[in-house]
Amino acid sequence: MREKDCGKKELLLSYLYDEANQHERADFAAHLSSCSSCDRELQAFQGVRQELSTWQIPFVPHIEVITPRSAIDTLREFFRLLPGWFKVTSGLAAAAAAALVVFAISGAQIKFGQDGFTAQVGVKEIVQPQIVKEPTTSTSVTPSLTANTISRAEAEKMIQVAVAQAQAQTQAQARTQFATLEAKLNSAHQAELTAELANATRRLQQQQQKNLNAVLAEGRRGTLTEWLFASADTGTENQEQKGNENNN
Amino acid sequence: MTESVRQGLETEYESSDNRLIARTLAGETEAFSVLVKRWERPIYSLALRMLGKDEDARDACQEAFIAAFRNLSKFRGDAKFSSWMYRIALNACHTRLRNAGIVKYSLDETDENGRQKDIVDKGAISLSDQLQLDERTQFVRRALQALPPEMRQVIVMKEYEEMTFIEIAEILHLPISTVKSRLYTGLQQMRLRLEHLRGAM
Repeated sequence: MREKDCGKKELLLSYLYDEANQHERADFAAHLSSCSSCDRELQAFQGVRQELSTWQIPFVPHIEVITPRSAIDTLREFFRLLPGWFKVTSGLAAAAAAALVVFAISGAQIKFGQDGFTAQVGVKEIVQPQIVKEPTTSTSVTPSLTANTISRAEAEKMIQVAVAQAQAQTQAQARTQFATLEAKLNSAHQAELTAELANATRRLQQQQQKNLNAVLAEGRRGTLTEWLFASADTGTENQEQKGNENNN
Repeated sequence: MTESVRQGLETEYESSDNRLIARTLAGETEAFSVLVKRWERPIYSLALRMLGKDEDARDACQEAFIAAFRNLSKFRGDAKFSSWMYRIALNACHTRLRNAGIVKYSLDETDENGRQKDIVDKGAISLSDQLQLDERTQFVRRALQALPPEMRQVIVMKEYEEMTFIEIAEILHLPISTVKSRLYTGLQQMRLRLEHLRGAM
């Protein structure tokens, strides 16, 4: 039942889908009156198109794509959770130091370790400019009462002690603040992480089950070692993927 | 809508797509969610019509968007984002089809009792999906699923996504003549299969 090919197939399609130019349209319309085969084909195709149009998709589920958190997102959240004293007292250097810390931790587990290098950098750079000023003014009050009775060296020593004390105190304070901040950030992410972890484990199990089923169904005579390797490969891939998602 | 208005809208979409891509690459991942929202409908529809099952379509759709996100830096502005996205989605669909080992039936295949075999397994469509479709739509769906994927994708792109022959050729990296010949054969096969299904009723 193969029709004679008159070489107008491409033109027929352009005509059918309204992509023919004016000249082509006129050309094909004239051809139709003399070629019954093309005429039948065109009508048949119009019928098929009508049938195809009955399959409409009424709703589309929302596709959720979890993208890893970027450094900028993390930085933004970091500043949102930052205590007020930090924002007010820290200058440009402090912001830069904080950015260093945040970039170091973005996309990874949020951690401001008390002895961690990043925390140390943050504390020193942020806190020191403050300490030098405050103790100087406060300690200068006491010596002024007995200004004539103590030597310059003694005064300097007193100032140094006061500076050291203030420094230790401020560092302790900063550590407490960082610990609170860390707790806040971690609790904000804990629920998310747990759910993601459970999800990842479930999907991994499903994947392994699928692999196992596929192997069993195929009845392939692969050795157990082959199967284990195959599933281990898929497993690693999945974990990598989930690993990225967990970073959120 | 006139052609010029349509083209104007497309250009606007395109430049706004490119802005969203630039923002995503600059680290603002929220911008990518906007892209997903914008394209999820055509991409899901394409996947559903290619794969036939909602669950598979969702998975393929998700895989496609994740792949797009990961490879976004490789996207070059010389093509439209939508074309690039369609290509990724079609790849995801083809991978799934290959892995599922889709069985093709010929039209005149008969079973052991001499009856004509169903073109596709009825079980391939879930009950909830079936309820949503009337009989006519089910015929279309089954006939479409029975086509070779290369022909099916051209029909889906032309008929449902309303792409021009040039756009399809660009996305599939094929000459326009090949696109047209696949569409022509696909439509012929669709006609035969639909007649066959109606005849079997």
